[in-house]
Amino acid sequence: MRVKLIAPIFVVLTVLAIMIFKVIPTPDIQQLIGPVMNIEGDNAGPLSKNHWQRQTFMPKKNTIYGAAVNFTFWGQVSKDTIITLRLSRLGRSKSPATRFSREKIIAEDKVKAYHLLKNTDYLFWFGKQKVDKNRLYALTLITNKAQPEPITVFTSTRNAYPLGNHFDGDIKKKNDLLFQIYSTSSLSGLLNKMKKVDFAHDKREAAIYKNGDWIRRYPLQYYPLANVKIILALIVLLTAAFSCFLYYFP
Amino acid sequence: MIQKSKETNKNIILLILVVLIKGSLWAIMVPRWLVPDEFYYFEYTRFLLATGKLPHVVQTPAAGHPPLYPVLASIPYLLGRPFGQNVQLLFMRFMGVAFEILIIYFTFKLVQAVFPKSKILPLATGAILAFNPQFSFIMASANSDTLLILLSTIWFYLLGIYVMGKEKMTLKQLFWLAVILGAGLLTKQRFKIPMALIPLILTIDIFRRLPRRPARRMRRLPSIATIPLISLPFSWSLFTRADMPKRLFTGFWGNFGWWQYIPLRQPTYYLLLWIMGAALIGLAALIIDYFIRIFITARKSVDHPLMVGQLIIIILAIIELFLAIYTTVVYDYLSRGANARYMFAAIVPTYILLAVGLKKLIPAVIEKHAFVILVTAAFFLNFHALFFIVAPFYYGASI
Repeated sequence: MRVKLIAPIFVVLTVLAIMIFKVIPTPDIQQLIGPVMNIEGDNAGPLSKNHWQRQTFMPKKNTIYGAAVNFTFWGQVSKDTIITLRLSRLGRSKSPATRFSREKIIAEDKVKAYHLLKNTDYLFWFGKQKVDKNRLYALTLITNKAQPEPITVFTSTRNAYPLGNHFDGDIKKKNDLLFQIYSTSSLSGLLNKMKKVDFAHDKREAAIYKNGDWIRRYPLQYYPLANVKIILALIVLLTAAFSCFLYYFP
Repeated sequence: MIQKSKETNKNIILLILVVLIKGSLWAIMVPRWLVPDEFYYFEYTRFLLATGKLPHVVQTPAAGHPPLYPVLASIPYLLGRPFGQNVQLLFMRFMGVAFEILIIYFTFKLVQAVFPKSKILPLATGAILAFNPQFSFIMASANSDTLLILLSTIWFYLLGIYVMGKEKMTLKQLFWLAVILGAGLLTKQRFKIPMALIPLILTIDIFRRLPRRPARRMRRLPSIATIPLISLPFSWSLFTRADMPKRLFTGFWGNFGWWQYIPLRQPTYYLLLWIMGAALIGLAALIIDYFIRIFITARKSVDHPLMVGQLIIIILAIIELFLAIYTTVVYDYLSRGANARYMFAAIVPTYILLAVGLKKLIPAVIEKHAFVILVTAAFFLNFHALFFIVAPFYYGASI
């Protein structure tokens, strides 16, 4: 009899505690567009095992989620070619770092090269990464391919990152936007804020999809149904159903 | 008896309700296209409906797989068409959740048939399986693995019912096995993992048809049954490649995302490792115990046929699990891109082994308490994975 009651009550209380302290979101949202990653000119060009491309920057906020890179040209690719974008911390100095700088890799994201298409914005995603506003960071594009290089990858900021055009006011002007830094502390705020953007995603995705092309992923996509109220309602239902299950456990 | 049956029905209905709600949360929370190969299968389905032809691999890499899943997925695809692409994909994901419910139901029925004296084991096995985070992640997706896992489960269920039946295979059983075999082969090449049990089942059936004394027949069983196993090209070096065991283990329990490493926290893996290690010890003890009882101490017991059936099911489960691991390792050796979800074709046998192994270690007096704790822990592991690992990664919030 005791177990019959203790287990469900424990589940309900624990989920309640989690929801109160962690899940119930606060309407606090900040969205930032990060500095432009400029790898035009000398920096743009072929990637190979010994030739990487890099952009250094000082974060304006203390969280980085990802970076979008525009691949403007694509040649033949072999199936095992992988392109990696690496986020690393360089040091306290504000001056540009050399490749011999002390450097700590924070996060990286990989993509199989054949997933990328000509003139595609690809969003590399690091997940939530805490950064220090007073430090210098670098984004580095590398590949696993050794010489001789069968493929050539050019990255460029020449084309605007189209999603930027769908943001509000001042951001819209940044036509050379290459990557974005998001900072948020709540799911609901983020979802509400991103509703407009999702619409933009749909339009863009539909256009690309028609030609059989795909943007592989956008991190901030969500379903129209996935609003916080539905999620919270489902959590409550799940807890109730599971508690009943435990109560009637043979 | 009727009372018992009503109770059992209530339990399984509640479990199915839990699986439905949990599956809905996973289907909604994970962003579009971020489960492995999801958009390939979406594209496959779209192409199939638009042209009435099968796509080439150039159009979508998923085209390398047989077409049963996209054919079935065209139903949710068409149902969601008036509401747009988002809802179409969501409906396809919900089809995976429906498959998951069926998997849990068949697991429950199978364990109930194999261990009829235990009321706890069928529900506990189903519940612990339902709360595997990686399983939840894959099942709430538009991926042919969902159908593959369902068909593998039904296949193992049919074999289990046949083994426990103690009779020759009937035409009806043969018909359903043939249907599932055909459907499996039309779903994914990896159905060869459960398919590999065919020679073993044939062996059992031949012995059931032989008019000889059981003891004499048993002597020949190992020689015939091991034919498919020794024909495998086996090499330990495949298993010891770099981080292979670690990747398989973490990928089996939870490593979400696609081309991204979104792991559970390290201590969670260690805890799971300890639990699996304990289950392995329990399983070894159980098998030894079965052999002693079947061949020495309880040869004339009324439970003897039941024990033989249970032991055969456990051996079949071990073989299927081994084949699943082996196939995954070979895939990885060939392409370096294998995912631990490849082992999910044998997830039900794996969980049966896990549950019976743990049951063996737990004293009967505290069995109920222990399984309630285990199921609750599995529930919170799933909750943790979705709201503290997956959601923060994509949404950047602490939900």
